[in-house]
Amino acid sequence: MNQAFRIPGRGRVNSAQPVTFTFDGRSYTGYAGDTLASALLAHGRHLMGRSYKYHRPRGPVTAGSDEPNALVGVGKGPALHTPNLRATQVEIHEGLTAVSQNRSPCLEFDLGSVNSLFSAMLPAGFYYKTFMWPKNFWDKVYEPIIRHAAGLGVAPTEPDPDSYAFRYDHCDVLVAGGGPSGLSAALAAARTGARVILVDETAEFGGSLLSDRQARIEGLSGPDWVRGVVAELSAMPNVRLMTRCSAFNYGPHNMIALNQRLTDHLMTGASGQPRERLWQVRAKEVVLATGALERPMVFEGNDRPGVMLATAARTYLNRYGVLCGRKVVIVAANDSAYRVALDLLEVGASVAAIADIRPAPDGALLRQCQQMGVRVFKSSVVQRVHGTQRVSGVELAPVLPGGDVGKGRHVSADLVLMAGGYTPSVHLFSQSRGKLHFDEKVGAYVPGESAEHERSVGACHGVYQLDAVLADGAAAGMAAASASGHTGEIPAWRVDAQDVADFSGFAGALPRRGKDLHSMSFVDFQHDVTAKDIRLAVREGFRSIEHVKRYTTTGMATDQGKLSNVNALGIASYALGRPVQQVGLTTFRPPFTPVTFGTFAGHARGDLFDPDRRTPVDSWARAQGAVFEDVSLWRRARYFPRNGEDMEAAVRRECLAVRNAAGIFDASTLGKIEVVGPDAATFMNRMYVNAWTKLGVGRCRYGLLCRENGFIYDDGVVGRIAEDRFHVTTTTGGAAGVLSMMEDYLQTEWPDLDVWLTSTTEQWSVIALQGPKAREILAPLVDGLDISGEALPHMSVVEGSILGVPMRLFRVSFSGELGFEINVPTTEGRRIWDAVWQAGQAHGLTPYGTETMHVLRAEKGYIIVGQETDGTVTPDDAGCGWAVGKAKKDFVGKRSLALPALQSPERMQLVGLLTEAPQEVLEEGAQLVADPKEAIPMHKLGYVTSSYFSATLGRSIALGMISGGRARKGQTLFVPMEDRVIPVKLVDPVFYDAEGVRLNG
Amino acid sequence: MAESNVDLAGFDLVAGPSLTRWVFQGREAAMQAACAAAGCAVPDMLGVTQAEGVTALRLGPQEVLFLLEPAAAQGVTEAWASALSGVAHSLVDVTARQTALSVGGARAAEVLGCLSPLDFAPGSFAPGTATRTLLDKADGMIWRQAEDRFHLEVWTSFLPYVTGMLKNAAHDTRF
Repeated sequence: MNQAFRIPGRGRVNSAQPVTFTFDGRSYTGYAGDTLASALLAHGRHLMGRSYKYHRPRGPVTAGSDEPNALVGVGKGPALHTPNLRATQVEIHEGLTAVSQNRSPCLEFDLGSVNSLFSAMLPAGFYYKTFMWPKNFWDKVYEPIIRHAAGLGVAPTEPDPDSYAFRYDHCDVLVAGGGPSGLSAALAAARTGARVILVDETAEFGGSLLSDRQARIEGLSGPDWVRGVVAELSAMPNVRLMTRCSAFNYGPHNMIALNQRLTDHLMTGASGQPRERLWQVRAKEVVLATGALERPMVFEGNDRPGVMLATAARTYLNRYGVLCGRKVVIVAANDSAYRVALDLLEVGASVAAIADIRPAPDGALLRQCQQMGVRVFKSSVVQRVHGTQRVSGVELAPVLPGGDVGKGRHVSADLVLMAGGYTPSVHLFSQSRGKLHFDEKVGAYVPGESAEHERSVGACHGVYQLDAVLADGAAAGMAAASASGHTGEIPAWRVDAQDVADFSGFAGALPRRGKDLHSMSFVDFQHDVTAKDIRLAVREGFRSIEHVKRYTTTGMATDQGKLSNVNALGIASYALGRPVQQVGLTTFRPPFTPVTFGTFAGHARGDLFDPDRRTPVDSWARAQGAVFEDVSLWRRARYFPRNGEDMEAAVRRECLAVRNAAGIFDASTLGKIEVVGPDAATFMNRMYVNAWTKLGVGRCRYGLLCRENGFIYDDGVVGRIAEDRFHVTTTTGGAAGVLSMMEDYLQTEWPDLDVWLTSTTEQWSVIALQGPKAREILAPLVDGLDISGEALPHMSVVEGSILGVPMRLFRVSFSGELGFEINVPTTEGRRIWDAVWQAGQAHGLTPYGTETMHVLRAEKGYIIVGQETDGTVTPDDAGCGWAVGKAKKDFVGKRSLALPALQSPERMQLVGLLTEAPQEVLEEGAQLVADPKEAIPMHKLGYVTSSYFSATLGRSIALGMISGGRARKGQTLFVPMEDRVIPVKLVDPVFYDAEGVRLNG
Repeated sequence: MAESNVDLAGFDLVAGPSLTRWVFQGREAAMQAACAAAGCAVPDMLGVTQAEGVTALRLGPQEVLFLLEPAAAQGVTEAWASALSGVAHSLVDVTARQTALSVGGARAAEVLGCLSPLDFAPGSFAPGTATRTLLDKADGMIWRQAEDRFHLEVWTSFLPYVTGMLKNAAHDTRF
């Protein structure tokens, strides 16, 4: 198929390198260097998509990342398909497969377009009004229908086979945007020796200069000047240049996120090449050279394929060699209309008319157009566009003195260009929290005071004329380099030819004849928001532009209102009768353009999603067939099934083994902190609720740590190794948090204390040996150490050695049995484990996992932080009031614990729960009530926190937090389930060996 | 990706030396005494000093990590016992807590830059500098021994993760 609209010799595409691709299954050719949009336009094809809400036929309105209409899906298959890409940015390559979106059955005939007929019923916020009744219809009927009808592309359904890279970097000066101001800024900074990063979202540097045939800099054409600058920058070792790289997030302290696209433009990337790379760049200074976007104009049918921005048509012509139409009407509020008219005339297009809204436009370009026979209508606007899938003509009409619109005239055309003036692209500046201010001359918001080490240059801060743009960029580049400690001279370039800057423009809806109640004049193309939607929002009482935005969804599409913001503001301002500055401006949020999920995920997938922490015993447990569970980042053995046991059977067997003989358990993941220094006891006194001063060397105590609010944060056994040395243990998940909290207090509240903290979590492997046979198993291994009940009573610790390996031996028990926790250096952990295991064979030693550990401790009524506690439980609530050092002057949480609310007898308190039926195991989380016949919602008294079948007791047991629970002991409460009510008796939470005979054995 | 596909040209990653490790913490006088006993000068913040078999890395205002080669370990610990007697301080053995990795090659800094937010430009992070940092989601410590040679210390359970991420980064940075 020939490219009927390609202008030979024009543009930067490589006509010697044809490229074949498909769009909606049909094969097309383009040239290397084309975007999908330019290649389709070369075939005269404007229709590329359907709109979001009304399914209106749409074509490209821009030639860049601001494109709201021409959104396509690219790539084959359920894994590689990427939806919602802008055809104006998709670079074609051999074999590229693209499809249009949001249409059924096909782009030319879309059943969804009936929505247009009902547009009067689908005004802004229609879903708030129309579909509220009957209530359950919203979830089941209305919302699915709306979601199906509205929308964009289809998300891929299979895992992404591509890989994505990540990289941090640092620089002195980051320049975002590679147009004339960005290039001059980068060069000025780079020549000083500063580390410079220059990025541009398109395939090549040059920005507007690549579409500008008039500019002459130092005697060179725009593209030739660009080539020279890029060559100089490329040769500098202190410069990193990246094209196809979007600065999409401006984070605090000049942390800029870049999205670099490495392979999408290639037919096949190098083997193993990542598809994209996410950069996080910390820049000392940032130069924003993001340019300005031409503003569309708001009139009926302004979304029809064939209606586009004047600069877009110029870019397609001069950068891609594509003529967007042969018979052109231009609607103007800015002189860019006349420049594009002249460029089009030069290649033989016919410019049928230029309607300029300004009463007295003037200038060399206008006169040149008139000399070439172009009809220019002053004080004129377009009333409506004719044509559906492609423009066929327009009605032009004069704006009469007084503001009414007069009788129109029909002009046939296949291309309508909008030259509404320019809007500085202030998205990144806005993200940086810089203050925007309304510039009367520019007629738009421009960057004001910077909140970061940032400078905006060129068109994005309202400097439009090429010579000024280059000077602006160079000065800012130099200033940025100076601010980062470099010196040099500001480069200057002579501009021999350029267009005179024109700041005029129009914001709002073009004047219309009559009341304009029904016209489809689009403000936000991507979200199908019309001028009358904005007016409706104002009529319904929305005054703030932030509210208008949310009610109408204008500016809330993925294009972040790049084209729509200023016009929406203009319409709201007019409807409110208040100047634009008083209506405000909405905030631009990252990302500047959409970024793939894969880029954010990077390598955080599969095995590397998170660090997978394993203890030295992990491989042993795996060989034993253990079933694992994740506990924070650790992988812990949950139970060790034998001969096809399920968890219940395995846990019953493991529990009985511990109670009757001995069990071995890997407790290495427990957090450990060494607290050392002359003030160690003082520090412990202040942190923990317990009293530590009188704890003797070689003794242990159960420690409870609260936050300032008096609620339990963590717990663990603490052993006093020496007068000035405590071995603190924490929960597995709490280790890092407890250390941070301790360091925080130490460094900020008590820097005077001579005490220091060291994490020893991974220094020590911990082997828990529990059960009546534990001492028999251990005694022969500990190199003569006396571990008798007299020498090493319950809650004591001794340093010694085991098989020659240094050891800290704790006589502690979380099972209620005689128990030891053998701490040895991690590097020896596996060897000692194996030795203990061997020694235990004759005694029925059984490995057990976290599940059995949970059951054993529940039988003893020991709490687990995070299971019995939920961040609102005090020590007394948890039945641990005994742990609180009453005589202590202060500790973290003490003041809060004194609050009346925390001493109320109604508080949730830990109790034991026994079902009447011994085989009935309650569900954890189940609620308890006093009267199961009470009408719903019932008054809930508490809930079950832990519930197990206890093989030891031959019945179920449970723990719960019940309002005033301790005083209710002996009472029966009820657990209402879906199909029955379970009566439950409240008892003491210690179910087993309440006297502690076994523990002290 | 499969191990065999990783091209590590310009990047090498090997297990570091076997070392004895002590975290020393204390105020200035104690730190002077500890370093003197070990035979090295007190390093500046984030600096490194060395003596025969001894490396002292200043990771905090009151903190020095001592890496001792096997031959020096016993002598230094004995010297500390007498030099620090009666001086407020904390010495904790962390030999088994962490593992050393040696990372080097022309692309080493670039590869580390994929995991750590530090600025690895030689002017910003000169040889002879050491600091704690993040290695993606793991904690770690990096000591730059030479422009293209780094000594990493990672808590042992994070080693497979850090190694996997470094290999991915070594692959990615080729493109």
